Amino acid sequence: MSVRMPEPSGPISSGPIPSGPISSAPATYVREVRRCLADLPPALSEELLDGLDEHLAEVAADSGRPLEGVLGTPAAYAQELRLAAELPEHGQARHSHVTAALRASAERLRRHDAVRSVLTFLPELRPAWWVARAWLALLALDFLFGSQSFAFPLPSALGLGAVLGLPLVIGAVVLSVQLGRRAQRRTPLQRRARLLAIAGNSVLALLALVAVAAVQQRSSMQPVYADDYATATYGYGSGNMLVREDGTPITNLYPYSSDGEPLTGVLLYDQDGRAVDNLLPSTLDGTPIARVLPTESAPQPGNAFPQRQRLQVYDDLGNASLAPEDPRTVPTPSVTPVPTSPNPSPTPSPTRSPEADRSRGPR
Amino acid sequence: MDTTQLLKGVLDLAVLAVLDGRDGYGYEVVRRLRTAGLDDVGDASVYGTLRRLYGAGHLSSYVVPSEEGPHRKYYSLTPSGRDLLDRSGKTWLGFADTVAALLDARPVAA
Repeated sequence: MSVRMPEPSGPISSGPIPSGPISSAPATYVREVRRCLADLPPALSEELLDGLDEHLAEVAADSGRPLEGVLGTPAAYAQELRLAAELPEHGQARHSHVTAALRASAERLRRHDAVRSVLTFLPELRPAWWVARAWLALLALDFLFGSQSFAFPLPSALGLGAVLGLPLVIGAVVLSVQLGRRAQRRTPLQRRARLLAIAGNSVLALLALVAVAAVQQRSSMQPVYADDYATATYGYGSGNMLVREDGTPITNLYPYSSDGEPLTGVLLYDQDGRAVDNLLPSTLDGTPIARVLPTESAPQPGNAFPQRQRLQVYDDLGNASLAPEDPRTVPTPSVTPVPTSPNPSPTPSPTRSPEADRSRGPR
Repeated sequence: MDTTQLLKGVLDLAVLAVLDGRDGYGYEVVRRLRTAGLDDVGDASVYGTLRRLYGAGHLSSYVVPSEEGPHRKYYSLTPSGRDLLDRSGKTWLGFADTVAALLDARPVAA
């Protein structure tokens, strides 16, 4: 005999336990049992009732008697199931619906082989964490009271320099390891101390993520050094970069004299005396531009124009290298360069206050 | 003495024991227990116990189609189930010995 139980249509009523209508067919019997367990979280009741139809069909077939006679009322059967499966009594499950389901899935997760092997392995990582947290704690102090930036690989020792950084790190590691070993030896920490330790560790772990992100960002802004030139990309700082109205970036400026001669080494200032050095450090398609500085001469100010630039390119492996110098550094001068200064000053000094130069314009 | 009270404590152990080395489906487990002498064991108790042990990872299950009747869900011990059986078995035997010793130590009734 094969009995398939039709799925109950619509939500199962969670009313009071019925006093057991006389039912003999296994399907009806199972449906009644289901109703009596309707207060359980669906995940739990499904796990409990899985295969019950077939089981009861077998019981009915074997005994040849109505199930009520063999097993008692569906309500009693459901109650016995609950007890045997150690599930909450009727009506008690509703409150902890979500937590019970969460706890069940957490328990299932913990039983998984992969998770179990990781969990047993974690304690072995403890010493590594002790070292890491010492270093992270120093980084945090350094960031808060010192450089306002993450110094790597050693903290800058609150701005005192990397020389002091190393002994500080060693000291902090020793302290952290001692703390860790003591916490391990001592029988359960006081509740408050324990909470404090957990909170501290969590903050440091969070900091590790931030620090890693910061390092990543820094490394993408490291200056690139070519063989014969020292080059440096600009910082991606203010966001107030020079762009034209149509959004085309201004990446270089080419001053010309009134008689059409290209000028070099011209220092540019704006109306407030600030150096004009906020050129966009990348082309329209995002290629980074490296500034080329002659290594032998004194460092050129950022507002000296025109600048010698090379595009930073990447090969198939993602290694950065510099393209040959941009041909745009030698543009063909236009026939009549503009603007033409009304009264050019004969010898403007770059060190002079740019305020005075403003009306006169470049040489 | 009411054996249902005693059964509650050792039903896990009994179910694991009858499945040790020989897989079985729900109703078969009930019958094996009854044949072994646990006449009072309730069908729902056994079924609920099977599902709980399965949920706890002590049992695994597989379905075997049956020609004359419904599909049968067979249960078999997992390594953790066998481990539980070993440990619980030792506990039970020690406990039973202790109670037996207590009974033996009674002053002989006149």
